[in-house]
Amino acid sequence: MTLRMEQVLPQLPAMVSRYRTQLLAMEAGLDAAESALGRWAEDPPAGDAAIRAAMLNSSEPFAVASEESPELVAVAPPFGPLTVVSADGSSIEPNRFAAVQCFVINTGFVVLPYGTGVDADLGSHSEVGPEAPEAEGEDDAGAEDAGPRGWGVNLRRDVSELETGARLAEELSGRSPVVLLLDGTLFPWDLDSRQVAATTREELTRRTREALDRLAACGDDLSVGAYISGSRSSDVVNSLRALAAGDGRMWPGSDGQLFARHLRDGERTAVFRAASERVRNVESLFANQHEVCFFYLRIGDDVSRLELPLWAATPNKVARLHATLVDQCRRCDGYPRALQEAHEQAVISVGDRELFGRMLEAEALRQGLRTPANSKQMSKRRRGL
Amino acid sequence: MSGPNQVGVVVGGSLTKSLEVRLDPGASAALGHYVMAPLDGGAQLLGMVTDIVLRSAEAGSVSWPPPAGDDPASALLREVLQDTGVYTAVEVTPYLEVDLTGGDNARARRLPRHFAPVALADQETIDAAFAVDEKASINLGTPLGMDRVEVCVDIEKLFERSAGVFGKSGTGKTVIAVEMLDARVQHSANRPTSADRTVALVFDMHDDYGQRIKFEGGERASLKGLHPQDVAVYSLERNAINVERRIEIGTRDIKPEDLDVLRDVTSLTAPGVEASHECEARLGIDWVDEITQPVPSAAVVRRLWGDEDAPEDVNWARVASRMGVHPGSFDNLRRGLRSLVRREFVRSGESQVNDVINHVVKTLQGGKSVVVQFGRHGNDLTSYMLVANMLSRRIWEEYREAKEQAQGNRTKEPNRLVIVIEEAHKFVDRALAGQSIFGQIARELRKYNVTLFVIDQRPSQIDSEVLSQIGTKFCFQLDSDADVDALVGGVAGRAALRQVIASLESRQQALVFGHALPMPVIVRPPDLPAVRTPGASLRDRLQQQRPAGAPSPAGLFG
Amino acid sequence: MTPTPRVVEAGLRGFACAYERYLEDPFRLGQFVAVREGPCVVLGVVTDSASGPEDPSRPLQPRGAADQSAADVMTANPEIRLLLRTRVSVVSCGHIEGEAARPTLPPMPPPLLARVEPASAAETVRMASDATFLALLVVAPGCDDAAIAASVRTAAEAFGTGAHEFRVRAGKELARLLRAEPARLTSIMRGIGA
Repeated sequence: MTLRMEQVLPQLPAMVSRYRTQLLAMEAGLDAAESALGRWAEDPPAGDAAIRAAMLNSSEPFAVASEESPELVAVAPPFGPLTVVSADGSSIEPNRFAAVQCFVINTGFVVLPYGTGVDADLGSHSEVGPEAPEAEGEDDAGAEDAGPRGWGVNLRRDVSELETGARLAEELSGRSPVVLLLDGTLFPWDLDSRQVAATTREELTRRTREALDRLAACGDDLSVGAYISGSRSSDVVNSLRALAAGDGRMWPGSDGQLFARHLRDGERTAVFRAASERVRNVESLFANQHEVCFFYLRIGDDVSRLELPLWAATPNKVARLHATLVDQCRRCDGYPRALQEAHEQAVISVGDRELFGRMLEAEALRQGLRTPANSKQMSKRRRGL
Repeated sequence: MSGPNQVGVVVGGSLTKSLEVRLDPGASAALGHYVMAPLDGGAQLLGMVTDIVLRSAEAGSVSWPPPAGDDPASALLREVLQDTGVYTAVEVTPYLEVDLTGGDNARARRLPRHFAPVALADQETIDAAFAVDEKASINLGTPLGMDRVEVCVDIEKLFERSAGVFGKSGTGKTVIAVEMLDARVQHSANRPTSADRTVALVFDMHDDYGQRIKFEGGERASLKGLHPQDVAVYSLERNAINVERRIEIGTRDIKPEDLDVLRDVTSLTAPGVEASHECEARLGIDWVDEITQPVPSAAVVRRLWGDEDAPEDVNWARVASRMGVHPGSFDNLRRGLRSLVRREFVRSGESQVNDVINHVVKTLQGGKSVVVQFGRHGNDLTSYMLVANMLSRRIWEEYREAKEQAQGNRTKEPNRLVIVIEEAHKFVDRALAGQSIFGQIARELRKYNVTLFVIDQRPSQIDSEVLSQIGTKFCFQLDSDADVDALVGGVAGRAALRQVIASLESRQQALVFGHALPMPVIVRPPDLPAVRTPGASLRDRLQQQRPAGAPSPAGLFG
Repeated sequence: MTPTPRVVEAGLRGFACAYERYLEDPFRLGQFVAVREGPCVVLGVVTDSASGPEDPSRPLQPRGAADQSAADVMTANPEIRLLLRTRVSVVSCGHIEGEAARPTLPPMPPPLLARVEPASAAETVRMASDATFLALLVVAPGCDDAAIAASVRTAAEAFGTGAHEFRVRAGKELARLLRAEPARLTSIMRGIGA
């Protein structure tokens, strides 16, 4: 045991007490935020204008109103019949100590019919890459253990999830109403990262756009939502602070803290439109046809954020999405069942990872490549005194 | 050999006891059936089923028998356990090794191998086992379970030793005796000379061997009726008709030896009979007439006291003590004799018994059989035994003398004689066998060309030595274990035969075994049809049967 | 259409097969099944079947309202059937090589992932006709009395009008094999006759 408990433990009470003090102090800020929300709701266009003005000098994320009143609280409508589909991915990062540098992306998917004639399905598909060695990224921070960042493994994973979701949605829409749930943010935000090689960025951007286009083409039968549990985003809070300029009280740190007071179990906020420099940059990659919207949903004690494209924010589609989320979370102790199962299909077990490493080494050896010895790796294995 | 007749396989056994055959599922074999099994070398072992046994392969099946219910599970379990957990086996007494290629048969000295197939004997094997070739034979009937096969016995072999027919009353003893004598007479009638003929002397207790025999409420032709030229009938009855001669006995004919056999059926005691010897010796040839008088005659007094002074009131008690005989024994003798001489056929003094004897002997040696009918006297056992014994003893004496005089010259020897007696146990019971003429005849076998043919209900009371001399035995249903034991005692496989005899039906089933047969056989004797040709049971391929009524070629007296 | 299970474990004396998902009506106890892929047709008798989570670390939780049947719960939670597996255990009881049907262990195990199909009535009759296949079942560790009885019951159905004769024939073979265990024989015969 190397953690000096006798040093750490005495520091805990003060730390917790400080946090608690902050929370109590935040109460006044919450009141102010709610007031600001109310004023915004009275005149949304004026509020939006003030918010946009505040955006000009800030790189923070902001939210502007959509068709719905910012103050809206909606209860979940009745659920079904519909088919829920979901995709999630996991990966094996390149091992810089292996004979051959490569990655594995495993994308899991589920199809769960509820009262439709569709067959349920669970599965995954895997790919190994890269297809061709990539150049290093322009700005390689030189991280020791992550392998070549230019490959954008995380990005590829996100894109694979979106593509899989798009494929399932295309296959099923027309046969029944479909709700596509994705894990995390709607857009793969690393699309604008300089750490990803340019060619990779271009390819993945194209694929993302194509996937979004396909989803949009599915029409009214499709609802889409990217689920972020326990969100710490602060888009709305930032917007409300801009509207209450000059208020010096301690504001809530996240939209979740604000809406936890505002929402009961199963209720959602209004749909907001995301507005920030970064969002604009990424949206511009898709010719502004897939602008990001979001709303917050309370499930139990958790306030989660749902991101969706503007074209998916029609009242019917949002209602379908809302009802599905409440139903799915009820089945799975507060987390959407479809996402849970897609995650289970995607997970690569420790055993599988080790097996992949051994198979890679065997294939390399078969083709005459030797694994270079590495002193740091050897030292980790050799822990004797 | 596993063919349609297979009933099972050999699973154990011994040559000296029996073969154990496990029956195939669904097969059955009954007591008395013949079965056969292949031996190494091609012969067939022929044996008789002598016991049926239920066995269990493991103790469990009978320790916990399946339930008796009608539900499908219980019924299925019972059906399954048959022939698996439990099975039926038969015990087979091995008798013969039969050579079907025409070779000689032999007594069983080998056993088949384990698991050799066992089948019901077929006609070919039975024929080979009981083959009499071309010899004249008597058809005994059909073996049990084989209605198309005849079992024949060599007629000479049958009569060359004494034979016996045993069984409770009403089982068919007399019928089979008549059939065999009919065949015997017919066969003899076919012989060219008297000397070659075997003749029968029948002591016919119930008038069954003369013109008619009583049968199933009616009558059938009997020996005289079937062979009028070859059979002569004598009778004890005064008013008998259609007989050759009437038989009378004189008191002078009665000898002390004749009284011995009567002890069982009269009140005569051994001391009483013993006293008769003294009486004959002291009182002369009229001793019977004398002592049956109410008081001693002067002649008696003279004989006993001679010149001495006889007491004034000589009575029989004094006569007895004078002779040194116990008075009680003497009284017993007198009483017994008085009852004898009262009979119709007993005359005082000499009679024609010797004449009759000579007549009978001449008839016999002339090739004719003789039937002595007793009429109403047949119901009187005393009369029957007295006459049969007296006649037999004297005739046998004649035969013995004639045989000794012939001194080995076959042409001068008397022809063979078979004496037929009923109620034989009275004549040859254990106590009397020594004295009885029949005991002597039985023991001396063919020495003097005389054999016995006995018909009896109580073989257990026949002297065992005499019984053992009876070569071929016909056994109908018997009442007591003692009777069965007496018949089979000393025979190989007697335990098995005992069981078979115990299983016989009350009519028309007989177990035949002994000298004339290669192995025991249960037969259903042929019926006695209303219209019967003489010698119907005779099988004689070499000679034609003479039509009934034709005179014998050698005349009456040879 | 009933899905076809595949061999997931194979040995000479028996094999296990599994359906891709949970099935309420897999192969029945005692049913004759055949694996027709491989150098010979391997025949076996079903001795057990079990259903449960494919991943033992994710046990099945009891769920459903009081008025919901199992089918209702499955319909309302369509992913559950896909996360469960039905697995069937089979004891080998013979094999068919060319024209010869032999009631003995196959020379080699059936191939893994081969399809397992119900044996036809003709195959069942060929294999079960003389009842010697029971010798393998009686000594197989995974085959209990209930399975033996079920195998005779189901095989008898293939014999049509000769069903009773077959049951008797099988019973006699069992009587021979179990002659030292009369109680066991009785128990099995009750199962057959029922």
